[in-house]
Amino acid sequence: MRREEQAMQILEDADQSLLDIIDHVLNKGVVVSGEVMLGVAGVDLVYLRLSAVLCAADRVQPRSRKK
Amino acid sequence: MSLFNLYALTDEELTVNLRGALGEPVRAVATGRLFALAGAVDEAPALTPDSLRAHEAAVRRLADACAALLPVRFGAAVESVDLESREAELLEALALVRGREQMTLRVYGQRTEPERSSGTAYLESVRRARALPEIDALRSALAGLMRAERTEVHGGSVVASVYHLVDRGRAPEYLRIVHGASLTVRVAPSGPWPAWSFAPEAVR
Repeated sequence: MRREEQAMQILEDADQSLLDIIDHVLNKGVVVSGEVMLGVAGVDLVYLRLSAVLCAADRVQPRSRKK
Repeated sequence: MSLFNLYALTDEELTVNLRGALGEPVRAVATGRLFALAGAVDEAPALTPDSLRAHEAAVRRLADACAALLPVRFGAAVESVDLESREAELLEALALVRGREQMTLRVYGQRTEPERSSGTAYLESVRRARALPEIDALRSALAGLMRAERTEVHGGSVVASVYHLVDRGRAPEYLRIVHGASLTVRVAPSGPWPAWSFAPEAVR
């Protein structure tokens, strides 16, 4: 499997706890630029897809009571 | 080649021995008035669910050991660290998160299409959507706990993510209030988390 496909697979298989972690760990936090070596293939693709996945209600089951 | 895999920034020396995502010792690398908390690695970490969870867990351990900590995004494996040009904004962000932790709230609902009858109407409807008035009652109930808020509007059934800073130890109270709130929309809280969404560039 290509590395980009592996990155997409992470989102496809993610449960809510992993989606929360992805949102925080890949989408938030301090961005250290300049000499950063982003040797992590597919990270940009995950950024782009994350918002779409967060919006899939059947993938993100809220644990609180229905209001 | 040895790299620093960055986990977080802080403004104090690390006084305890902690391990990074790969089990490596984490050291505090001084850069101006800041310290970058990093582990020595041979290459950037692979992107896998396990490595993401391990990074989050390492940041969480460090957050527990520091009064003020800004998490660094996954994948920052660097040869050296120079944050001089950003020191002021990062110190300001550290002051905001000192002694605090993050709660994350997903807000569900129907996204309404922006009005397009005029430019003014369009901008006003976008502004209204971003303000998330549907959780105003919850904001009032949380007023005694909330120290800061960031919001991010999405485009589907999760209409927004809302991030709140609360004083450390107040998460159970926060969750109790959210679960007891009577709202017209459905919300799902999680946390406490390190203050991921309160880095200067975290929410655009």
